[in-house]
Amino acid sequence: MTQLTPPRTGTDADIETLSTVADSLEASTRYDVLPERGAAEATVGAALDAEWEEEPGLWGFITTVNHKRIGRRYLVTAGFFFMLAGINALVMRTQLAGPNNSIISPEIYDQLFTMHGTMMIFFFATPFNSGFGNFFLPLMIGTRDMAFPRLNALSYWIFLFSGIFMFTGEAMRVAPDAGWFAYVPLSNEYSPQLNLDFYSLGLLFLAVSSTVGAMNLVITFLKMRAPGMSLNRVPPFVWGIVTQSFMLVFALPPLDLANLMLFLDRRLGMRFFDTAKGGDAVLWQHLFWLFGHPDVYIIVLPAMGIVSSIIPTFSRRSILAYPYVVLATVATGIISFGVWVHHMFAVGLSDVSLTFFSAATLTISVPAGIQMFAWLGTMWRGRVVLSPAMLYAMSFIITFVIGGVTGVMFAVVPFDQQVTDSYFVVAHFHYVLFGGAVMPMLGGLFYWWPKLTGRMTSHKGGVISAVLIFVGFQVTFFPMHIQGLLGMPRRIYTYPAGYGWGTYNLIETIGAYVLAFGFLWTLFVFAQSLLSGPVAPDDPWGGNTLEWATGSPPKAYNFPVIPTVHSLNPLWDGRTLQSMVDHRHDDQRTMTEVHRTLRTSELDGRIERVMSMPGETVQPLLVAAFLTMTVCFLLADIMLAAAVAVGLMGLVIAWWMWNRPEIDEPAP
Amino acid sequence: MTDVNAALRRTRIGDRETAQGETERAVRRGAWPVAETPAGRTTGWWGMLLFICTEAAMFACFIASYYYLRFSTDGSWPPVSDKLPHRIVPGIGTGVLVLSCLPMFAAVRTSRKSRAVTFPLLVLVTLAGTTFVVLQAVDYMQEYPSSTPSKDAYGSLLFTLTGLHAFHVGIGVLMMLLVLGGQLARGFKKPQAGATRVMAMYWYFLAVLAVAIYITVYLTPYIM
Amino acid sequence: MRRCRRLLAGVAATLSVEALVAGCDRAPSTLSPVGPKSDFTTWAWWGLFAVAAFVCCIIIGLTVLAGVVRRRSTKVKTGEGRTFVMVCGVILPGIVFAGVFALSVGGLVATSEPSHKPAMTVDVVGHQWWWEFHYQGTSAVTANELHVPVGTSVELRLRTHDVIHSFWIPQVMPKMDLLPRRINKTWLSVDHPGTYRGECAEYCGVQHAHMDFALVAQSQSDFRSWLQRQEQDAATPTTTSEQQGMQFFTSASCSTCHTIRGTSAHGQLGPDLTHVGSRPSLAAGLIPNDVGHMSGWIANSQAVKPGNLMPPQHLSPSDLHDVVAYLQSLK
Repeated sequence: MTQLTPPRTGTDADIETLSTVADSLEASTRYDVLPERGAAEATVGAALDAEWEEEPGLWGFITTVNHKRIGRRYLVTAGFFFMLAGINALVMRTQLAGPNNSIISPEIYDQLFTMHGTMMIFFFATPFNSGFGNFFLPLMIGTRDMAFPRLNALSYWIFLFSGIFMFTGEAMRVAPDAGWFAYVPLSNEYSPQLNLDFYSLGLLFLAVSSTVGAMNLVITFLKMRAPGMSLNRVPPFVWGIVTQSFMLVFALPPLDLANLMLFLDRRLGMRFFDTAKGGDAVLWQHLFWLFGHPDVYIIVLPAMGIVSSIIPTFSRRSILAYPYVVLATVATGIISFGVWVHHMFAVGLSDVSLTFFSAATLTISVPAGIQMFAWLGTMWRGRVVLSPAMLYAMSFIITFVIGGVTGVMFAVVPFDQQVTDSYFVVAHFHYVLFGGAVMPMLGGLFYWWPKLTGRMTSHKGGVISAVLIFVGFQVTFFPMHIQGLLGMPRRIYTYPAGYGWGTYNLIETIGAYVLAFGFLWTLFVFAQSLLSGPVAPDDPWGGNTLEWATGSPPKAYNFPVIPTVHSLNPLWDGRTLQSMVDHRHDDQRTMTEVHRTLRTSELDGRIERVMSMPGETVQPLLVAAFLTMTVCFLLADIMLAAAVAVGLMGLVIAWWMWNRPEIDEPAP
Repeated sequence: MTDVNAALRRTRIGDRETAQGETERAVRRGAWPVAETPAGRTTGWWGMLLFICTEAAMFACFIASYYYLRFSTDGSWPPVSDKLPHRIVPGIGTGVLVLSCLPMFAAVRTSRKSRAVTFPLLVLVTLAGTTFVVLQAVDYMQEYPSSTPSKDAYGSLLFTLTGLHAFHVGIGVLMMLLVLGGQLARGFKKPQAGATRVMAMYWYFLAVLAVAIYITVYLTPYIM
Repeated sequence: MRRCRRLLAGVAATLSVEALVAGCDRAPSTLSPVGPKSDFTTWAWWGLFAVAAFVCCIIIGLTVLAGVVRRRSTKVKTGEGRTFVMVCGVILPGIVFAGVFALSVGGLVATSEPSHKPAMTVDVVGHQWWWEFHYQGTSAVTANELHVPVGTSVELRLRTHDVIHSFWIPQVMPKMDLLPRRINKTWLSVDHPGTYRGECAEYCGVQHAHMDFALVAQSQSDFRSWLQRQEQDAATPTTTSEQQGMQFFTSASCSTCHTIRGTSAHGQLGPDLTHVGSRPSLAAGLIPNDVGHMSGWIANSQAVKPGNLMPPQHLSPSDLHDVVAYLQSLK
């Protein structure tokens, strides 16, 4: 276990240096409780504890609106879906271990790879990021909860129920089986069973959760930052989450529309995609990829934000070229809406559009390069500490750069047409998504585990986990590049012998089992930490951002005193923590009565007013439950019951809106 | 109000220890709950803005899909060439919805001062919204025999695009009823200006959308 | 033990590029091109690979070194380092990307049109899960077997009967999709005679894995005589068994799906069987075309290729024998 302590002193003149560098690495003092937080808790902790105390037991469990509990639930639930989707992949790899295997039937194989993609993209990667966002965004910006706590609970419940809905389909063996991008007409008139109804309904269902969750995060970021946290002091992780959320707000609508059209076509006989009746199959592809490409960055940007959190802490200096990192993040989000056609280079579109999207694809690589060199520069100008989280961040850089360079290759149109839909592209997007998202997420888990659970993880266990997963990943996915170049198409449930594909497939399957063992090991490390890990101090790594100024795990109100933020690295500047002591008698900063927090201005983080927050309520669960009923009745084609469920949901929403503290009114 | 007063008593504005410069202190004075004017935008305002963004993105994709299918169809549009859509009834509906923005605007302007004026204005807006939905239903009865949602892509687009919008107007009417109910139940005492302002944003959005959809669905078949 | 040895062999193959090239002669490898289009993509690949390997080596090296070479002093450098990020993250990649874009545009120009006007046109129709080829200007129709003359460009008009498929011959041409109600035009040209594997590359349902075809590139004269044979109507049955087979075929349900030109069988759903006896394989490249496999296929094709659209046929052994004898005679 590496324990690091940041500097605790500093005059105004030192702020500039201190806020960029935590160089007192060998300092021997470390605090179980930061003295500043201790002082603040001693003053107002008791009053806040009484006010923010949550109801225990089951009722407390289902009515909570606390962003930390919801964030942890997101992580656990998405992690569970990750495991299920991973098992799907493991079964597929077993089937593909040798040529002409028949361990599973082609129908099941098709459901497995469709569910693997769909669940990993929609029900693991995005919600797992939301989990980190939910837990850490309010902590990092120094507030007490999300802007809309009840909406936050709602988005979790919907996520949970929609995930269960999708896996019910798989358990009933009618899971979606047209691939995660479900091209029509295969997903339309050529799939008469329920399979694709699970897909269209399940994704529409989940989209409600993702959309409200994303809005919530954006507004929390805009209106709830601690005083003094102007936009140039917002941690890169928060920028990643916010950019992702903005993207979700604009990227989900085309997907929702496509799924709505698909559902109407399948169930009500509409003709949006029926080429015989004036519809068009390519329309689906445009709508899908208009969502689908931004979605890559929706997954990767917050994960990159995690890396931008880990690297400064374990390089003992502030991130290099912070403004460029932020601009690169935002630019990636914007450009990503203009590259979708590179998924359709083989569709037979005009050369003009191919050229345009080839250029756009190259453009979007530039911001990634900026971030890459900002991380490398941070490491080289700092002192690297090889903690498990840092090892994961470095695995990420190595893996992501390989995925990045193959991504650039896809900009060359004829080469894209040659290797798209082959195993080469499977290798590429696993390097981007596993390397770009799963590795940072695991790094984030190791980094933030003390904050999430209040326990430390084993250092050695974490290092072994990072090594196992890195090796397992490379062995599984690197040979796929070669296999693709050797002409093996993707999504085939078996392949003939004698083409030289078998060896690579066998290596990959072995790699997949190593990877699975790596995950089991990681799970074991976390379980062991929960059961018998040492109790975590407030700030075990000497981190630079505000979440380390709270308890491990944080109290329900996060900050007894809302601090004033003085720099990009508030825990290193020496003054931000001091502001918690200074303001401990200031009722505007402590807000001990009712659930309250500060609302600040969007750009400069100036205080606007104190706003009250809702407490525990069962409304979100009720809305989610009625929505689930609606979706199930739609699936079962019982329209009347679906209408009744919608009506009931409307009533609960009316009840909810009736008493809405979050829309704070201007005073008379 | 007691908790606010209690809090006020305990607040120490301008506390030496907390001094952070002139600006911040001034802002803090203006920002306390009993301030004259609200400082900054509310979370509700931002919530509605983002909601409108996501809805606008969806309708933009839908309208784009309309033109995409329209221009990838060879031959006449609508496919049954002599059955052009009826433009009068939906035109009146769209006009009513657009005009209802005026009382909505007036309601926002008066909401902070005289809620007795705001209430009837909001009732007027609600009636306009209801009229729009009814006229849309009347239009469906006109269109129905010659085009149906499942006859061809044209029919699917016509009914679904306008239907989705009318559904949103219906939601808007329900939300308006909730605001009105709130005003009645709270005896015009509890402030509702924020809710009215947020509601108005949504209403303007519906009106602009109605125009875009009217032009797309009911007018372009005549000129293209 | 054998698996173990295979694994070791595989590892060795991965590590050694020479072994890679030598060991996979039979693979439909994009890296052993036999036509101008795949020539370009192979050439582009090695160029891109060189640049990519260089970039990866630098970044991976810098990452690993940053972890290994740790500073002895506790001092770390302050400063923003914006110039470093600007130069390494924007300007250098910008130059590389300009080159890649030039390659992309050059590739589009080089591959979108053939250098010579196509000498012939083939209509390609994708079906779940087989391919149909119509040779324009002739009556020849084949299934899962595309013959072209060497050294000339052939225009392809791709369309689909049902869902989206993608036409891919790794050694000859990159992919082009087959879309409902659209005709995608592309072309191919093969430099050397031989048989090359073609595949469906867009997921198209349960038997997407078994939707292969053979591209047979022949000399001009061989191709001409092959095409002439294919244009002819089906051979007349000679033996009694074959005659009975034909009788059975045209009167039973076979003819509702299959065509045999010169007989009364005009079904449109399944492959044209006029010259089925001349084909090397059945079921889109899945099984060899001989008496045993064909009998098994007709009796219960679902056991061979589960989910395919041909229902099991409950034929008496003698009928089955006759039908197979007849079909095998259709050279």
